[in-house]
Amino acid sequence: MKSINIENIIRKELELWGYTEIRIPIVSENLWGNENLLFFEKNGKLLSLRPEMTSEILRNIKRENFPIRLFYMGPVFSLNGYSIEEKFQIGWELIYSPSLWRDLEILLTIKNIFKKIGIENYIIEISNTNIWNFLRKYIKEEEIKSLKNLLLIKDYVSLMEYLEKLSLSTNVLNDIKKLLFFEDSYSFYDKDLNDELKSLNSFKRELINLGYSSESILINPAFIRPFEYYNGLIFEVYLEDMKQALGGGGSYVATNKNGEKIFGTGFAFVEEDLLKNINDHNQKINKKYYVCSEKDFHKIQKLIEEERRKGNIAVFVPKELEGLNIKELEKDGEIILIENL
Amino acid sequence: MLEQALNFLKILDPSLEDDVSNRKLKFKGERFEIFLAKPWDLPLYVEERVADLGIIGRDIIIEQERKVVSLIKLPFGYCKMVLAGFPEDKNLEEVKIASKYVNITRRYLNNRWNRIKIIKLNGSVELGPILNISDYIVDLVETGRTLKENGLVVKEILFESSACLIANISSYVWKRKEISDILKEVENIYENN
Repeated sequence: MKSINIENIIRKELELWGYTEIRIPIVSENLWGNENLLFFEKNGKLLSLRPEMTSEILRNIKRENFPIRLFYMGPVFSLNGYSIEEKFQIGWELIYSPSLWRDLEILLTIKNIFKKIGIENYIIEISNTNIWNFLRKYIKEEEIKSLKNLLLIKDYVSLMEYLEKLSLSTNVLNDIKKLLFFEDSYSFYDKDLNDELKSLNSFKRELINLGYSSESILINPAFIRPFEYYNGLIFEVYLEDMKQALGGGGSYVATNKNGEKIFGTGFAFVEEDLLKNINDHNQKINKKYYVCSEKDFHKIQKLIEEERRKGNIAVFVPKELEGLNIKELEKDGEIILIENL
Repeated sequence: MLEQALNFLKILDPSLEDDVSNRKLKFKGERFEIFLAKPWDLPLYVEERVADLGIIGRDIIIEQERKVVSLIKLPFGYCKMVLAGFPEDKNLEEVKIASKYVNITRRYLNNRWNRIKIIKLNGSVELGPILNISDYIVDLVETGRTLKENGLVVKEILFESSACLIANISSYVWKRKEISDILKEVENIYENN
């Protein structure tokens, strides 16, 4: 499969849901992040090549009552040591005030798009940024920040060691341990924490009611995401055989350049990672090459049209084509060889 | 630590081979397939999902900052990461520290003095102060005997290290049930001993 195929599938599906494609400038005045690629323009102004797209969208969007649905595709840049990394990011955002349906819609778009691409095996790890707020009753904000930093790098050993230095009751320590190694059957000593987990469980049930399998949604309260703007649901998507998550997202609150609060939920991933995974599994999209003699072009049009009506790509290839390489074509789609019409 | 790690694994999978002296780098039991990797390479194997789980010293995990899940401490491979030097302290504008652990030294000691210069050494770090290459060293210490024999003393314990069980991030999602079962078994073994 080629990147253009993935982009077309995503574009087509998101447009069906009412999402509009937007273009974002590559150069940004947003300088956050240690790995941003920064440079001075000739007048001495410090600029960066965009490291991601969501924050740029949120800074420039106006607050509206009607839900805003946007998607984007394009390169993002980062500095890895001394080398510049360029990746192609695809993502979509539903800008609207916090609501259950908003979060559900984003996850349903992922399900539909994966289905159309032909990805069947994946797990979405979900959590909520509010889960760790229960600790405000027991420890200081800066101690919670230190804990979250350890959660971010998934260093549970250092985290447990850090907790031992704080004066926490056994009940609270047990609750934290259960969060780290969570199982659906766990209940918690802290009432607020129990309520947060119940609400996350009920979100999972909603997803199952809407067609997700139970195995494809994994609640992991120990999982957090790096960006500060997340506020509520967060998630990451794992494909089988991938070493890391494909991508992730969640619900957020940010401030635009007019000082207005912007709420939304979004998802983004790097296209190259998805493409590699798909091609490693030799997955083909619904594309058929009709290899047929030129003189029979008109005779097979009905057949080809029928395929297109089903939503599949159907391509006519003249059999007389000089240097026609069927094996090469096979990598991209199914070959329908038509003879003796 | 290899022998202790294999003994530990044999509790979880008694079918694993008993003889570790045969130099095989890959062998299989009924429950686990084992790869023997050099400690400094192991976090990479886990990050790259060559292995779902790894047993490795905490010093290497902290030093390498690989994208893995550090799950639990294991009851062997105990030692301490220390700052050590000659007994008398010097008042220096720039402090030179020799270590194999450059990231750990920077992370724990960067703001300690006006300026620090980290000198990367790959072994026999104690030679740093002896040959006047450095003022201090940061190194892993088990009994402190080597330090003592070279006239050095522990100035500060940066952290305590032991063997740890780490997991690949994706494996911890896809094989959550199996890994959780292992963690529970390990906890039971601790409690019963």
